[in-house]
Amino acid sequence: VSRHTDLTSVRASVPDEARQRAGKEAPARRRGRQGEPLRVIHDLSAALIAASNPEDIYNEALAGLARALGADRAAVLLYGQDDVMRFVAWRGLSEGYRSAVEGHSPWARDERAPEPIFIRDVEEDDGLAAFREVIGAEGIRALGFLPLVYRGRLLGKLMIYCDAPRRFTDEDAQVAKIIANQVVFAVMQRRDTNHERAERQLVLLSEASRRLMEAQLDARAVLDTVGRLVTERLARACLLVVHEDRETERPSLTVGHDRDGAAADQLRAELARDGAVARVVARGEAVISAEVLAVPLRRHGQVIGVCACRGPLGAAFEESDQLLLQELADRAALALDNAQLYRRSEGAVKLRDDFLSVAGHELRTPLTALKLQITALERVGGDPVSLQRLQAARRQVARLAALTDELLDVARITTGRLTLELEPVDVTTVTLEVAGRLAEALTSSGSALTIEAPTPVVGRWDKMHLDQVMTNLLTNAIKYGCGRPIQIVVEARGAMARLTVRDQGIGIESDMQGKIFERFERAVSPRSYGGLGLGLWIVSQIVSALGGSIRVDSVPAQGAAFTVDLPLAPPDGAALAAQ
Amino acid sequence: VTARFRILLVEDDRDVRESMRDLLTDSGYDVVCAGEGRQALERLQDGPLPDLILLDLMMVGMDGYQFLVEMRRDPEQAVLPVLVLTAQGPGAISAETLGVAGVMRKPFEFDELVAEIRRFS
Repeated sequence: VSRHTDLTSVRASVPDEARQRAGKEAPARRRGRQGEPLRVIHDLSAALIAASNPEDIYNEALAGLARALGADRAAVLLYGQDDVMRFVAWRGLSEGYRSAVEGHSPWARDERAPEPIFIRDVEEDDGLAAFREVIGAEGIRALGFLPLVYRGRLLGKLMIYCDAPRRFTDEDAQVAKIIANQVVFAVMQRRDTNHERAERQLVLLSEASRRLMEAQLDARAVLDTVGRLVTERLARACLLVVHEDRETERPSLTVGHDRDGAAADQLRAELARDGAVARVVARGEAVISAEVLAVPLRRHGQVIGVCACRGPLGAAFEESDQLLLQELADRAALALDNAQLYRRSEGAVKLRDDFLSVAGHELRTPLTALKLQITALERVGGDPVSLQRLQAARRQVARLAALTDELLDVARITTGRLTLELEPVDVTTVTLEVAGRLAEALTSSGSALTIEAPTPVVGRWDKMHLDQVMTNLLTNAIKYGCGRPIQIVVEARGAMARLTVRDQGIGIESDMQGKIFERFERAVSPRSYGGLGLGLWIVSQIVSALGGSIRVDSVPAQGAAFTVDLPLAPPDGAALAAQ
Repeated sequence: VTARFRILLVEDDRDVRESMRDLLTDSGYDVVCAGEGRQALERLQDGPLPDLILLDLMMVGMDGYQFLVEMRRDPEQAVLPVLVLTAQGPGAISAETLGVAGVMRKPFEFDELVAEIRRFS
């Protein structure tokens, strides 16, 4: 018996970035290089086309979900003939868990337009209260339900699971929908071959699925694919019209294909004359005559356009032709949906990257001009007071530059655009470089620095970000070190590198020790110590992106020791999907 | 008399460009300026070729990326060393991906720039 679990309260959990509470949740998984999920979608299309049996389709889907959405585990569930949704493929789920949740679904069997549902944190979500224990025991903290829908019918769902709380973005939701649609394509293609239809239609539909999967990220290519197929196999001319939709920003698009040259134009004129297009759109019904056949393009129950053809390749159009054309139109509509989702995610990614890039450029350019002007003034010379003031100006510019970098880093980390470029790096060399750069600050603070780094410690890391970790830790030690000695130790410990930065300064109260790695948290009054309170947060984000960990040991008034442990080789995919 | 080391400075921000030009000239370099890529290509066409090109990337008009593409069409110009000076953050931009001799991030200290230029002179 199918159980429809009431998850109405869960529905409020669809992505809504505005409602997220800053700092309470782990940031969205890093996607590594820009556009990574979109590339995964492309790869997935190719893999699904090549999949020769259902198991391959499911496994490719699982791999695609893990890569595009950074899921730790995933599953595919489909309705069986008994109307129960069952696991058909999964990754990393215990048998106990599967049997406990199998058959439950957030949507009713006959729900018309089920939407994806995301749960940021199982522990904070009341909708899943009944399953909290089971889910918790499985080590799952965040999850996503992605419906598999074909022609308004729920076929099953894809599930993604994360081991830590996870903020799902609108982009995640769009990528998830595209993947679900692709799986539907692949599954339907296989199902159709089991139907008892005419050979010609089977071949056509199977061919359509394959070609649409290839074309589906571009609306015009989708319509072209259908037009070409229809004129190859079904009719002399084919005309596809998609109407503009302001709400979804879908532009109107008309594509004509014909075998004889002018037939598509003739069809266009005919359809306009007798209002067939308007009729199809208004009523969502097909129009059929011996010479002309027109079916609606439907998406989410709405008519978004028309697929019409003229001049049957057989004697006259028959009802089976109409069914076939409708099937084609439905697949085309699904592919159009994908094209639109794809365009939007691509736009969102680009917009964000453009903004960060432009903001960085716009903030740093005046700083460059200021620095150079100060240098020019210094070279002109002048009285000691003027030179002193110029030095003060120089210090302030340096401070602004550091704050700019810090803010841009935060923006990059929170939008998942922290890019790691892994290469062999010697952390000892990095440490010495950082110490050299901060020599002046050390001198003026009065703290003596000793570095204990007996051997090179080489790992696969991102040099610039490792530099930043060391810079932030040493800057903190200087800032809070009360002018007393500072010690840095770099050592290799098996497959890990350990960096320790120890000062003998003001230290950190024990109740603050857990908080200092959070954003905007600071253990000291902003009046006595400047800064944004972001340095340690950035450090901890970089360290965890590299698969490592950081901790602090401190006794107030006696100093603090920050210890960073980094694997010499970050886990697979760290550069692509590190937390 | 040995010819002075000649630098083509391509930078669209006037304050940055002029202060760099003055400081570099005072440091003994021969500096020719351009405010964007197309002007820089003209400078390359017109005068003797520089020993080094200092190139900004994000510029109004022809940007630095396009300038690199255009400049490389000319075999004589293609071999000129380019030091990119960019205000863009770390990440996509590296000397390897751009195929240039070096990348410096803004804001830099003038002394750092001179040290870098010395690598080419």
